[in-house]
Amino acid sequence: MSMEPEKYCLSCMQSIGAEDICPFCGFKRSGYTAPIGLMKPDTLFESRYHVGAVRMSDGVFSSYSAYDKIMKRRVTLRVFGDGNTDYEHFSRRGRFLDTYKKLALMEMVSFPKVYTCKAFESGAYAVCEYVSETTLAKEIAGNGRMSFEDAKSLLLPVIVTLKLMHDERLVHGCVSAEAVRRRDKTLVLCDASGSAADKFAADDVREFLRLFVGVMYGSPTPVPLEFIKGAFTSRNELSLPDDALECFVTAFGSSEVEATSDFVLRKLYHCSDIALGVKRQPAKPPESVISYAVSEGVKVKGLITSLV
Amino acid sequence: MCPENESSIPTRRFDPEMKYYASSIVGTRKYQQDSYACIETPEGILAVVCDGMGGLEGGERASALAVRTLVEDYISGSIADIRKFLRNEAIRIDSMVTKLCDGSGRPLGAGTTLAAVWIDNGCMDWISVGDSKIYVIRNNTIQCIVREHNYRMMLNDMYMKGEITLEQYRGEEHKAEALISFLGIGNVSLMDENEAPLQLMQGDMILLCSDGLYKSLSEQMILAIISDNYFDMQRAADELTDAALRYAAKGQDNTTVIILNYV
Repeated sequence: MSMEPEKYCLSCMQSIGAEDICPFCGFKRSGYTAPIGLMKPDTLFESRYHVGAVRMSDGVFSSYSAYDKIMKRRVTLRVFGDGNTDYEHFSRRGRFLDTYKKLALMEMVSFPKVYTCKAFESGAYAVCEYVSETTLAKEIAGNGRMSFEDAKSLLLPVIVTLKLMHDERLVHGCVSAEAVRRRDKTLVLCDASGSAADKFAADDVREFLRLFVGVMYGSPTPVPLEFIKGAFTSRNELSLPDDALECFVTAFGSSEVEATSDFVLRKLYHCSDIALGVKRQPAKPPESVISYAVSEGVKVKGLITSLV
Repeated sequence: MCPENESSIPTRRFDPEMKYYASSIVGTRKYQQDSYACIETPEGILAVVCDGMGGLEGGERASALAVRTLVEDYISGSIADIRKFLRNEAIRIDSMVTKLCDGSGRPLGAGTTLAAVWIDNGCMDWISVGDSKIYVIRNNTIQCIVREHNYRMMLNDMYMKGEITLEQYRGEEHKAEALISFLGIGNVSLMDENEAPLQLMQGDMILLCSDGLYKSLSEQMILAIISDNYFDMQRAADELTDAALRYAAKGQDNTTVIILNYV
């Protein structure tokens, strides 16, 4: 790591020249101090990423605004590092990397695009699409509660993203109104930690996801069996954690009971009804070319081609 | 065949450790004039990228003809000397492309580049005509092993030899991208070939591409994208073409990549 002379806004990572207050987002550079133990602003991480301000940190996982000097784009840098080097550390680091590799390949509309994830000496990091600082929590706090219809249209793709993650046996690990951020007219779910199996985070996250998705779909969330330790048999038996309540209020402008009523009366969309984007399919050889090759009596072990 | 293996391995054998991936986009053009193929047989792996040019359908036909001819000749014949085979194929395809005609029998005036590699037993031979490229990626560095056969290459050569002044060079620079060698030019002679096979090392990657890639992305970006997607090389190929489109300063040309990964 070394220091870089170029000046960026530490929040939105736009180049700001000699300005102290960012003309794009109003962030004041000189007023920012990095929390103790985290990377200082203007650090050049892995000889490539110009580090900005910390976006969130829980002591193990930290997110930073950053600028990718090679690809010339703003990114969000998600770093795992708990300061340990014991077996548990490497196990969690492995889970973090596995999670982000899967997320990279899933290419979900309501999840920031994952550019890469790699290990380094004392931890691991993921580089994701930069998403604005505007969280759903801030937006709601600024504008008051939104209507049920607005909340529904905004949040359904996010919930579908959660569903897709669960289908791949991934749990976000840090779902909250702070982790839901605005990208133009849509919302995206940021800051996945891949830590759902961690003891300190498992319970609330599991219950939250069960409730949040359970109400929307009318059935319990398919949480992987190894994460289930209590005697949960249906959503009716779950208690309501504080952050889940906040999210219900945020999502529906109502409590859980009213939200359930909304679900029944207004017939929310099922995830399969929502456009998710189309994953690119690997190139496949046209049958005609394979037929030709085989008919020549040559054993073709593999073929990819544009020929038709 | 690599010289060091010549005495110990009497016959060619397929190397099971080579994996290959491809991605191709039209870009902002109306037609797709790139063609590609990567074929794997017990003899080895042949990968080829061709970038056609000329007329409405001329480029498309020229590049498809080149790829099909090379693949068909590869799988239907017994190849004793791969370098000779590749060179003869370039000459044969050049002649075929010059004869391409439209529906009314008029010459199409089409052409195509050719970038091809043949890998067997961890050794690579190659040929290139035109400005499609072949890169070798090793130990997190990237190196292009062929030249762009365009007017700039000729201008650089003339300038270095003192045959033209800097002023004359600059005066001609607007024509620098024009190809001076391609298949379809007739009696093609300027080709880049290897003098000896390249011995590949585990972890090496070979990238074949049309000019749509490197005219949008720097070598450092290409290397970064491949490195970033180490966990899925098909995604790396797709990201390369996506990024070429995204980073293009103006409209994006047809772009094709093949990645061969020696794992």
